[in-house]
This record gives sequence, C-alpha cells and structure tokens, in this order.
Amino acid sequence: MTEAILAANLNPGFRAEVQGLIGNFDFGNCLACGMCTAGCPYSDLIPGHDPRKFLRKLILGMREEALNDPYVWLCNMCERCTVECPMQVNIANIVRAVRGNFYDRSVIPGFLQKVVQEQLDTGNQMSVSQEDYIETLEWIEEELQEELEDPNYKIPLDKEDTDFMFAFNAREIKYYPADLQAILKVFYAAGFNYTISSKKWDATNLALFTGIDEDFYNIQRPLFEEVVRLRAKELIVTECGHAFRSCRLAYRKFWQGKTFPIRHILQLLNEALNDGRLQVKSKVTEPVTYHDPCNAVRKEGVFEEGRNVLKSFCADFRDMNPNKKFNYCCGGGGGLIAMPEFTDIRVRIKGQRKADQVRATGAKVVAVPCHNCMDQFNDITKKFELGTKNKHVCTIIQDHVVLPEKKD
Amino acid sequence: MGTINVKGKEIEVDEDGFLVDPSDWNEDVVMAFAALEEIDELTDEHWNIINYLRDYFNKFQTAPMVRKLCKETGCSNKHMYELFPSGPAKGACKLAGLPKPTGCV
Repeated sequence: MTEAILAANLNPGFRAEVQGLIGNFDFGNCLACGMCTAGCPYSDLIPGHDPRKFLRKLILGMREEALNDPYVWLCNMCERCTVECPMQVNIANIVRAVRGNFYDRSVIPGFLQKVVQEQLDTGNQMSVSQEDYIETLEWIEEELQEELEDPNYKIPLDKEDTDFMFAFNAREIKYYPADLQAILKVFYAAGFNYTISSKKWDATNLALFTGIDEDFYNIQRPLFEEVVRLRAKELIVTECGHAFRSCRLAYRKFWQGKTFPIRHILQLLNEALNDGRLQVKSKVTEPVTYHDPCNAVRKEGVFEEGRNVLKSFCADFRDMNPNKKFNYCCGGGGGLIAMPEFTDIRVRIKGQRKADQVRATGAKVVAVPCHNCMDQFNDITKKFELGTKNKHVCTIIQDHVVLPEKKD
Repeated sequence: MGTINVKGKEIEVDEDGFLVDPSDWNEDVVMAFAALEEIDELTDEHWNIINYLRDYFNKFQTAPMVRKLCKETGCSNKHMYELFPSGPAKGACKLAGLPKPTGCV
C-alpha cells in the first residue's frame, strides 16, 4: 500500500510536541531500519499494523495521518518492537503518550474509559461495594478455615507494620474468588507476615491503556497511600501484568511520598522458595508451559522468577519459543481486551501467533500469570481448540505446597 | 457483532457471544447458548442459577458477586464451574442473557 506524503501538509512542530510528552526522548534518531516492524508479531498479519510507519508519521509531522492511524489503538504496547530497536526507541511509550494527549475521553475505543470512570468513582474497576467486598473476604476465610483445617485462620485485614501489603484485581473478588483463595493458601503455607486493606485493594488501572495520566495517577495514588497508612514494608501485586506495571509506573513517574519497593507476587514466591519459607510437597506431572506477560516481563524485568517457581513445582516444564523478553504478546495487551470492536482481530488474527506457540510445546497446562492475558488465552483456547487449561501460577501450585504443620 | 441461529431465527449477539437485546432471551436461546458452552444437559441446578441471575440483574442492572450467587443458590464455587465450564461471569451470565460484564473479565 503506498501513501503519498504531501510536504505542504507536514506539521514540523508535531514531533517536538510528542517528544515533549515522553520526557523529550529524541525518537528522531530512528534509523527507519524497520527492525521494529520485523519484531512486531502482527505486522505481517494486519495491513498497516506497522510501528515503523507510525513513527515516520510522527517524525515527519504527519499529524492527521498519525492520529487517524488505526495502529494507535490496535498496538498492544507490548514492546516486542522495542527489544529489536538499535536506537532504543520505545514505541509503546510513544503510543501511550499519543493515546492520552490527543483524543477526547469520549472517543476512546471500547469500554476502556467506562472502566476508568468506575475506578475513579468507586475505588475499584468493578464497582464492588464495601459490604460485598468484606462479605466475600469472610467467605474466602471460612473456605480456607475448612481447607487448611485451621479454625483459627484469619485473613490479616488492616494489620499494621507487616512485611507487605497485598493488592489484587477486582475480578478476583467479584468473579474469581477461588483464585484469591489459592493465593492466600500459598501465603499461609509460606507463613508470610502481610496485610490486605479493607479500604483500598484493587491494583488495576485501565488508564495505563487510555494514556491519560491524570486519571492514571488518581486511580493509583490511593493504593500507595494505603501502603503508607498501614506502614507495610512493601507492596506486592497479584498475578496481573497491567496492575503490576501500573503500580511501578505510577510510583516512578508521580509518587512523592514515603518510599517502598513494589514487587510482583512471583518475585516474592521465588524468594520464599529460595529461603525455605515455601516448600514443595509434590510435583505437577502434566506438561506445563509458561506465558510471559509483556507488562511484567519486557517492561519490568520479571521473567526468571515465575519460571523458577514453576520448575520447582512442575516435573515437566516446557518453555515456549521465543520466550522471556522476546516472547510474543498474547494479543490482548494494550487494552485490546476492553475494545470489543477489535475482538475478531484480537482473537482470530493476533491469537494465532500464541496458539501456534502453545501447540508447539505440547503442554497441557499454560501458566498465565496475568488476568488480562488469561482472558485472551481462554478465548484463543476455544477458538483454536487447543485443549489446554490456562491457570494462574498460584492455582497450579496451591495443592503442592507444604502446609505449616507438616514442616520439619 | 454476529448472530446465533435459534430455531431458524437469527438472534443478535455481541463480539463475545453475549445477547445484544435482552428481550431476545427465552428458553430456546438458553438451549442454543448451552450447546456453544459445551453444556450437555440443562438441569434444575442450571435453571436455578440462571433465574437468580436474571432476577438480580433486573433489580440492580449488574451481575451479582460470585459470593452472593453461591450463597443464594446454594451452589459451591467449584460446582459452578462444573455446571458452567466458562465460569459464572462468562458462562452463567451469558446463558442468563446478561450483557458481557465490563472491566477486566
């Protein structure tokens, strides 16, 4: 497809404008080599899904063409292009800045903005009421008392001065309480000294994908304030790539308060395995593979930890190819899951890459340490009839950990 | 957008296969969804959950918490997945004719 570039229409200030939004990183040093497009898993599947061309439009000042490029919203912001770039141009970062600064909230695709608004209005993305939240926690507590055969088991709510505050995804409370139960069981097995807040507990933030930083920080800030209020030593985030990334990004970009580390739950579990707090009782025998969620892996460097945990608990661990920082996005990243107008592209076209990868491993279980990726995997598994089961890491290991009374 | 064929009639569903127009819902639609969701037979237990979801949605315009759903229908969370393999959010709600839940679902 050829597009004529009319010099008279170019807007030379546009490049500087976009550059100003990303800390003045000079993407004008782009060599136009096309490694980004070669690195993008979808550039040869979807016409116009082309990071190189998009970047050229910005650099040349093709303002209208850039802002009307469907790529702005179809890009998964996965940074697969960026790992190939010899000039370190972070296209995902640029896409996010463009999304967040040139469009009215009313034209953001799908239901992204609706969810952002619900988060701003209610403190969590599913508008779970305080009463429903507490009642669900009490239910999980009762279930765990039975499962752990420990009638004194309590979820440590609003405990001060603990090693960490655990924050999670609203859907774990609303729709998937069994996932939260599995996590808390593993925490119990490891004997962690932690807390969960009764007030602020949803770590997710869909403004990561709308790019509107005002919303982004207004959603994330109360979580940080809660860590400080409860004097927790650090913040641990559940198996949700975008929630983890949002916490880290908002903290680095905007947080001015008391400092504390933010870690992914798999970093914590790996540490606990290494120092013996978490022990392996038995191993999963089915072949298991591991999906690297872009937000945790490429963007925040957490990839060995999840593998180490799985290798400890699984007799037959199989890596996908490629993997770690070269892994392909599930196809649902960048908020695409929340844009139903692109469902066909997301599942049938983008999903194909991942389906092929999974199939090649011959695994029966796919460990998916991300809620967003999980939805995409469930859609792909159905669409391509993979016959695999998609599970969070904690769900996989929950029945294979040594519980306290059985420790030596 | 797409459609599913229910006894010769094309019924509109969204990109994720949820009903677009709630008034299209009837028992035949449930049967058609059940086949797509790999549910072999609809039992009283299924109907109990479907009816609860519909009542709740009509009252509050949102799906209930899984906690509420389990408590009110007497179905354990685990059994819910046996009845509706896609789970309460994507399985049971779809059969009950609710729109797809928004958010990270």
